[in-house]
Amino acid sequence: MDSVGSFFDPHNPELRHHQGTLREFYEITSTLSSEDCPPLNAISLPVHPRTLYIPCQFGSLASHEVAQSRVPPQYETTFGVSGVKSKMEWCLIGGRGAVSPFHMDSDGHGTALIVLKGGKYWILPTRLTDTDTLSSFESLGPGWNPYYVNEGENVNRFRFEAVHLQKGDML
Amino acid sequence: MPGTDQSRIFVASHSEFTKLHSREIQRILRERIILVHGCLLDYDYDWDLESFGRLYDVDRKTTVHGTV
Repeated sequence: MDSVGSFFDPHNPELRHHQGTLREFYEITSTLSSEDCPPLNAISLPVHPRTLYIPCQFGSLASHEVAQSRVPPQYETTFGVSGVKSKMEWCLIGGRGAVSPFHMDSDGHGTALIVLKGGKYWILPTRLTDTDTLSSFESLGPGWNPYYVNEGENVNRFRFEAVHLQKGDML
Repeated sequence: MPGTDQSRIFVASHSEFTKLHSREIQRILRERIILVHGCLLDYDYDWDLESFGRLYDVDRKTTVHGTV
C-alpha cells in the first residue's frame, strides 16, 4: 500500500480514502504472476464524483468489487470440453460506486460467486416465454442496450428479480 | 421460472444446501439459480475495500465495462 495515495474523509477523520492505479490495486489483491493472470476488466471506473442518475437498471451494484474466475487445470480434459478456459477465466475490479451493466459472465457458461466482503445488489432477468433462452448475448436480440434493457418491446419480454447479496452468500 | 410466477431464485441455508444430493442440485440448476446464505468463510483476505476511493487506469491495459 506504500505506493497508493490516501486522503482524509472530511466527514470522518478516522477514515482514509486510498487512491491508486488498477495495477497497484491488483497487485495487493493477487499473488499471481502477470503471465498467470486472467484478463483484467474494470467496471465503470468512478474517476470523477457522479450521481447515480440511472445506475444500470439491470446488472449489479457492489460496494466495491474484486473478483477472479479460474478454472482448474484439468477441467477441460476431465469433462472432455475444449476452449472454455479462455472464456471462463477473468479478473474484475471496481472501486466505490462502480456499477455493472446488464451482462453475462463467462460467455454464458455457469458462474458461481461468493461474497467475501461488503455487499452486492444483483438483478436477474427471466424471459417471459415458455423457454428461457437467455444463454448468450445473441439470445437478447439485435439492438439491446445493457443500460436500458427494460424499454420498448422488452417491457413485456422479461421479468426481473433482485437479490441483495451479503457476506457469506453464494449465488 | 419462464412462463410461471415462481421465483427464479432457489434460496437455501448453508446447512440445507450441504444436505442436497449433487443430482438434486443439478436438477434445480437446470431451471433456477441457487442462492445459499450463511456460508462459512474461514479466510480473511484483508482487503481494504471500504476505503479504496478511486482507481485510475493509467496503463490503459484494461477493458472497462460501463461508463463513468
